[in-house]
Amino acid sequence: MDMTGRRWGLLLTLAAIMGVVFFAVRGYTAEYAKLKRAEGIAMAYKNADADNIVAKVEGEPITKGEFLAAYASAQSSKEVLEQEEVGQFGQGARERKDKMLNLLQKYSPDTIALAKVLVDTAVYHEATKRGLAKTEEEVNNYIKTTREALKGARVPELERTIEILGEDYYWNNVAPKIYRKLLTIGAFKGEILRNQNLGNLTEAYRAWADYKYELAKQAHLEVIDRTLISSTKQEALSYLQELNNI
Amino acid sequence: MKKYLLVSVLSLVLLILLTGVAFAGSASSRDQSTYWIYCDGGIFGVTINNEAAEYWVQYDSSYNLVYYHCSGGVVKNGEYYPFDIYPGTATYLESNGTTVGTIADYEWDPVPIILPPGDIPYGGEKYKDYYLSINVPAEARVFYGFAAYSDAGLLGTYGDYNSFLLW
Repeated sequence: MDMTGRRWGLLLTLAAIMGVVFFAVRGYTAEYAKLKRAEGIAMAYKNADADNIVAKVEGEPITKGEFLAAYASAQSSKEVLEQEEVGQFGQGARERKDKMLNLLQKYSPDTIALAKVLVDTAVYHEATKRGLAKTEEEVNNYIKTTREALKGARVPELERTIEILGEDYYWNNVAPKIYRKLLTIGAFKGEILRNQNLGNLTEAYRAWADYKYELAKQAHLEVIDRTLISSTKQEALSYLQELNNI
Repeated sequence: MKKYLLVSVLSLVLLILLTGVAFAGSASSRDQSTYWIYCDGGIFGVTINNEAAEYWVQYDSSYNLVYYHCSGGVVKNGEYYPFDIYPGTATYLESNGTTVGTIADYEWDPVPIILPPGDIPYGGEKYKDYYLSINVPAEARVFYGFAAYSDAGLLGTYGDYNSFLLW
C-alpha cells in the first residue's frame, strides 16, 4: 500500500471511530438525562419533609415530595427532549418536539412544576367527585401485577428510583400514593377520550387538554409554602394554555 | 395445421398465466412489544401490536411492481394512561442495502376497524407503485413505535422494527 492509500485508510478509520463515539455519546446522554430525572424524582420523595403539605387545590393536598418531583421532572425534560431522537416518527413528531422544546425554554421549572401539580390535582379532584378514584385494593392489585410483569425486565429509571428509596419504602410507601393519583387520572382521561375520534389523535388530546385547562382554571389554589413555590397560578395557566396549542 | 395452432395458443396462454402467478405475491409480519414508561415516579407497561404487509405483481421480465403497502395496529388501552401516546409507523423498501422507497408516517390512509374501548389505532394502508428488480432480493423494513408526553415534557420514545423479504 502506498502513502496516499495508507493516509486515506487512517482518515477513514478515524472518521469511523469518531462516528461511533458520537452516536455512543448521543445515546448515552439521552438515557443519562432520563436517569437524572428519575434520580431527582426519587430524591424528592426521600426528602425528610416529603409529606409536608405545601399547597392545596380544591382542598386536595399537594405534598412537598409531589411538588419537588414535578420540579425535577420539569428541570430534566429540556435535556431529555434535546437528546432524544424522534426522527423515525416522522415530520409531525419532529414538529411537536421542537414546539415543546421552545415552550420548556420559555417557562421556568417552578412554573411548569406548579402547572403540573395544579392540573393533575384538579383532574384528580374532579375524577374523585365522579366516583372514578381508584380504591386501595385496585392500586395494590396494579402494584402486584406490575411487579410480577417487571420480573426479568430492565427499566433503568425505576431501578435508580428503587436504589435511592429502597425497595420496601418505594413499593409500600411511595408507589401507592403515586399510582392512586396517576391511575385515577388515566381512568378519567379514558372516559373523556371515549367520546372523541381517536383517528385524529391530536384533536382528541387537545379536547382532553382543553378540558383539563378549564378544571385547572376554575380550581381554587392555595399556596402554603411560598418559599418553595414562587410562581403564580396565572403563570401556570399561561404555560398550560400554550401547551394545549402544541 | 389447425391442431398445431390451437396447441400453440393454449401453450402461450398457459405460459402467461403461469408466469403471472409465479411473480405475484405478498409478504407480511406481525409483532407485539411491551415498553415500560417511567412517569412521575411510577411505571407503566404499554403494549403495541403491529401488522405489516407488502403486495406485488410482475411488471415485466426484469421488474416487480410493488403496489400495496400496509402497516398499522393498536396501542392497547392507550387511552387510559396518565400521559399522551403518539404512535407512528414508517415502511422502508430496500434493495441491495439501499432504500428505494418509503411510506412515511403521514402518508398512511387509516383502515376502518372496530376496536375494543381504550385502544388507539395508528398507521393504515397505501397504494403506491415501486418498480423493483426481480434479480436482486428486496426487503421491507417496518418501523413502529410511539412517543410519550406528559404535561412536563417528553417521557421518551419507544419502538422497534420488523424486516421481511419480499422475494
